Amino acid sequence: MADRVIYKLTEPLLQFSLLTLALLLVLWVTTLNLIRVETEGAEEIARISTLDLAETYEAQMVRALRDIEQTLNLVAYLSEQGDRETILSELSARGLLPPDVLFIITVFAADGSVLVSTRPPGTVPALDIETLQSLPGSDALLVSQPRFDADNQQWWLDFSIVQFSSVDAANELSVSGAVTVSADAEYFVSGYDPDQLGEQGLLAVFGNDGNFRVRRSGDDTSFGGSDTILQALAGEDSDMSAVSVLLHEADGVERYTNAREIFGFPLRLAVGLSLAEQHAGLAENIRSYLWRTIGGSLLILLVMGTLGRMSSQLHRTRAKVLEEQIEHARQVEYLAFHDSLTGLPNRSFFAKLLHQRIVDSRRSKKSFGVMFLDIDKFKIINDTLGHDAGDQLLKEVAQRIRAALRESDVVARMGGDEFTIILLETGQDAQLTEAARKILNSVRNSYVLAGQELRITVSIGVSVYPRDGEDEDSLMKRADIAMYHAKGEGRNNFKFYTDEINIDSLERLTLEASLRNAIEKNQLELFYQAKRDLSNDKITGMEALLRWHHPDLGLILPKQFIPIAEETRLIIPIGRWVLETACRQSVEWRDKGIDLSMAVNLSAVQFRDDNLLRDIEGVLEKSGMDPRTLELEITESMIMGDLPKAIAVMQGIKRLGVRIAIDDFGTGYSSLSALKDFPIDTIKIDGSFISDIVANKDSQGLAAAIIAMGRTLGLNVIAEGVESKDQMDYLKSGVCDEFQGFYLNKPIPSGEFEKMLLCEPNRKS
Amino acid sequence: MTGKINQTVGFLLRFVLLVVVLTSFALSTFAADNPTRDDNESLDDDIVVIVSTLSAVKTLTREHVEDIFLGRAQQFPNEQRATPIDHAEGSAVRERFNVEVLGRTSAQVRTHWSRILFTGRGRPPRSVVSSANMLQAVAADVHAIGYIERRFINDSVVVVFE
Repeated sequence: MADRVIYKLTEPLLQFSLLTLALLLVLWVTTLNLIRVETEGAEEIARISTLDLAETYEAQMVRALRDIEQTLNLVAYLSEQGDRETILSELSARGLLPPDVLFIITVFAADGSVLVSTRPPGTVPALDIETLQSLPGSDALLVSQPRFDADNQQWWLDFSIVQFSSVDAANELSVSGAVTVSADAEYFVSGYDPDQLGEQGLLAVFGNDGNFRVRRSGDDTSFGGSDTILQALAGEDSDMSAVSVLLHEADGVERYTNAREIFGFPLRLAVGLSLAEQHAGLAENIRSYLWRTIGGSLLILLVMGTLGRMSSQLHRTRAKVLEEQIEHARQVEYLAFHDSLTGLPNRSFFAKLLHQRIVDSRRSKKSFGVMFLDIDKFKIINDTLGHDAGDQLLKEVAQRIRAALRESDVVARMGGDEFTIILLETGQDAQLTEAARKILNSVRNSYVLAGQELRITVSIGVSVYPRDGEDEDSLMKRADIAMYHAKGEGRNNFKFYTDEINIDSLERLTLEASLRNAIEKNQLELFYQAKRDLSNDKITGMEALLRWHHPDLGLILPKQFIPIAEETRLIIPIGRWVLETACRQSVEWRDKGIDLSMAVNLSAVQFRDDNLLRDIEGVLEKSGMDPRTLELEITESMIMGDLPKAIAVMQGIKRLGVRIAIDDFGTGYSSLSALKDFPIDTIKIDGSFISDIVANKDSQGLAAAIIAMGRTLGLNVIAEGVESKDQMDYLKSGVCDEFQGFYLNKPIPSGEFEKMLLCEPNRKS
Repeated sequence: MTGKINQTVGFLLRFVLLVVVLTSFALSTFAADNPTRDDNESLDDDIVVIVSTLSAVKTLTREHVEDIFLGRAQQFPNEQRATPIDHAEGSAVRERFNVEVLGRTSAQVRTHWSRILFTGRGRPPRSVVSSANMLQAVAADVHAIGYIERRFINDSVVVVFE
């Protein structure tokens, strides 16, 4: 699971997605942070600006109000001192009154009527002193609500001082008049600077009652009215430096607002900066940041997308290459562990499988069988039909073995025509027997190779784990040994391994090894067996018989080692040695006056050897042997394999002047009609006929028939294996020419044979 | 081909429009000039700007007058100090002076001085209550500059702008 996740992490698509997300995150966090910082900065600047403006405004207001106060005090003072009527014109002439463009100075009598004013009489209304006195706030300076002057279309703020005088002894004060400075209400907000306050800023003057005296925002100036927020501000002794963001009721504008009392006057002022205007630049900046960030994001997406796609493609290509490499490695491994021809596991893979099987079985305490299988005479098939046909056959055989077994069984090819099999959970010999039979039956069915129908057989050896061995080596060896034993017992067979077999096989292995050196080590010897004329017992010729003096095993007979020699093709050099030795011996004896025919056996392998005729010719030349005294013995079965070729070989031999004998005649299935076409000189009746000849009428009849046939064809007929006088007597009564056999004619070494020849008076000379 | 024709037609249309606009502008300017010429009929009522005969100033442009009376200049062009004197607020002659000479309504002039005074950058001219006072004040002060209806002129003052 974790591996899977980690593997996923190497995917470029995921990597790039994560990287892109990270980049976008960083970008946006940075931008948002920047916006936050700028917003805070803008807010801070707005607050500071608001305070700055408020301070400036306060200073201007205080100065303006002090001027007014001073004028009031001056006029009030003078009016109490002198002639009230002339004060104003005198002060005006001296330039001590505030400019008449914005201010009106009026002196009122005790009843509130105008005594004198800087404006023409009638243009200034009478003063309601009692109401004025009831106003809250300073008792020195009274500030009216804004007053509208319809004639001049102008709003005024009246600043008044009520004058008192003591009229009686009780020192009670009574109103003696009043002085008023009327100021153009707009004057107090005329400092509105759009450059600093914007179009929606605010300058306002309001009383401690919370009512506006005058209020200006942009070009819009209003008079009177109230604002609950300002009322709230007016109600408390607010912190002068507090800037709060307030929504102003009057125009619905949100403002940074600072309100403060004007020290020494019953008035307050408020300065406001519009939130929207103050943040306009900020909003512009934020918009541009956001656009840039969006642009950046798109760029990142584009670049990363492109890179990601390229990388992903690269990754895919790499993965594909890797996959191909893995596939290749897999194929190499398959080839390393499988036989390319049949597709079966090969030798090394089989060794592994067998090892594994042994390990498993050791744990589960179960047994299993190992089979060693070999196609009988595969070499001949390969030689005669060609390698392609041989390969074809191997494939077919592999398939049939495979099909005859269970899926869980292992079939492997060791190489050549050898197969090995592991049969799982087949502890019972009966099961193994059944399996072996199945294989034999399946393999025995005919094959069609190179256009020819063909039948083959196989030999199988079986060993069982753990009975016959607990390791790979011994199991394999013992199955192999059992297989050789099966072959030895006639092919198309299977054999379980037993200890007895093992001994045979050891002997056989030893023989094979030492046979290779037998010629060099001079261990081979020819014995000679005499052939005698039946009519007079005279020796007519001899047959050379091969003997092997094994240094450890003593004298070994041909039937014990010739099969090995044939299998290993050692028979070729051995056969040549036999022929040479026999010929040399014959010549030696001829020189001593013993001129008899010499018969030499040819093995099947020799007979098929292409060099046979050349070898014979060479030997004849080398030894000086008279070809006519040489007789080569071949068996029926050798001829029958490939009849036309056999006849050609025989004709070749005949051309050399050498005689030909058919050995073991009667045991094969040679067509008697074909016999007449064979260029042969002699037939030798098989010993099996002879051994029964005295007692068995059938054998007698058969022997008689063969002899008669041979005679008819003008052939020399020899009886083999004559072992008793009875047999010889019977044959004498017949028409056989010569005989051979242990009776009177045991095979003996050359020295003894020579002595025997020299003693017997039947020398031809 | 069609594009070229369209361009040409577009250019011609724009040119015609330009000619029309320029012509109408010139005509309106000409029309606006006419009333000032008609003023010659009532010469006595004309407002003239005056200085003392003691003053070296002989003539002023409208711009000079404007600058001095709106507090933008404290000196005459010859670098002598200038002290403007106004008529009383609300008087007809002051109204006329504002409109005819300064080219502003009285409310505009008030707003102008209001701001200057409030922000402490200057003071409006002091005022006199009658034309006699005006003549007196101007004649007596070499720095003074005032205005008056032509018919009140005597030889104690010199007209520097009419």
